[in-house]
Amino acid sequence: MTMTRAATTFPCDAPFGGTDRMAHAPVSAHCPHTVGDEQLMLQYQGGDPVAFQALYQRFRDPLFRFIVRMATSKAEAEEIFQEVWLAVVRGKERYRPCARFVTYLFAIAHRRTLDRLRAHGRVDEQPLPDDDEYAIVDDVRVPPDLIAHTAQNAQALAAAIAALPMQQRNALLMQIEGGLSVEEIAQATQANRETVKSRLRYAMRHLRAALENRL
Amino acid sequence: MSSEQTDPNVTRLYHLAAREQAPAALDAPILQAAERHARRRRLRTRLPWIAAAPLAALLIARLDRPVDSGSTTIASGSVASPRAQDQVRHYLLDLRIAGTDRSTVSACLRSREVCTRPSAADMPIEL
Repeated sequence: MTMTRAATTFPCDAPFGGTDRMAHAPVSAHCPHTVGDEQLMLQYQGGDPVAFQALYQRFRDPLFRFIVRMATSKAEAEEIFQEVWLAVVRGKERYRPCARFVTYLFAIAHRRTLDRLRAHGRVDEQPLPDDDEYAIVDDVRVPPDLIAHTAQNAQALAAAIAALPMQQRNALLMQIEGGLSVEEIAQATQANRETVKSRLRYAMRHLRAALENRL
Repeated sequence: MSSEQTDPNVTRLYHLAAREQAPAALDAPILQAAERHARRRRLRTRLPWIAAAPLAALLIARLDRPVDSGSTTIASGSVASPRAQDQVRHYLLDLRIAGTDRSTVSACLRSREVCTRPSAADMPIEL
């Protein structure tokens, strides 16, 4: 089976740091923690492998957690994880810092995960329900005593996340693991901003409802 | 971001639960691939310089060497004869420097960048 993957590119109106004089300075010349992700990627583009190591260390675990919750098995998650990083490596020449690196990274992860799910016919592209359906739980807030950081509640949350429709889970995990904004999630998933807002809203309602039932 | 789309409590609880780390076994192949690609990139950047250095050395060596033992030396103050220019032209072309064709060599000879010293435009070519 052949799968086509569109390149992960974002419209580049205002290049970030492209002309910065530090763009091609070796990362080892300064503390990697003070260097932005986009800067590190530019340095890697220039042939500095230490810059890539710094990026990898920063996003290794959040990316893995995102993928492991999107994939259907741990083995598949590991394969996707490798594919994503290798795509970053092989596509480094094409990278343009028009968006945050994390958005670029999660966009690749999103695409690769979706490809796998589509290949196995496991993509649920259900339309979002009407707002009215969720009107009852709209105002439900997680009570403070629920956030008691117990293992039980954490497990309940993990189960609730796993039960979310794919697109809602995707948006939620991009927000929680990657720290992406609504606009960035829209960019990474090539979805409408309002659609992303709805997905996040519904996901949050599902989670609050699931946690409330545990009281 | 609106509170409808995010909830700090849920996020906090999530981070307490989500502690998975990528298996360490995956690190090596990824980092090795990254290193390999970075090395290729560095080589590509330096290659023109690496290639140019021996060519330049070869060119200097060929020009310094007497071209033909039977040739005559052109008297000081005169321009190189057409025959001498022809010989230099052939040697330059023999070097097969990238981008150096007959017209480039002719232009070079005309401007005397190679066959004469800049300070003495009419210095002879030692043949």
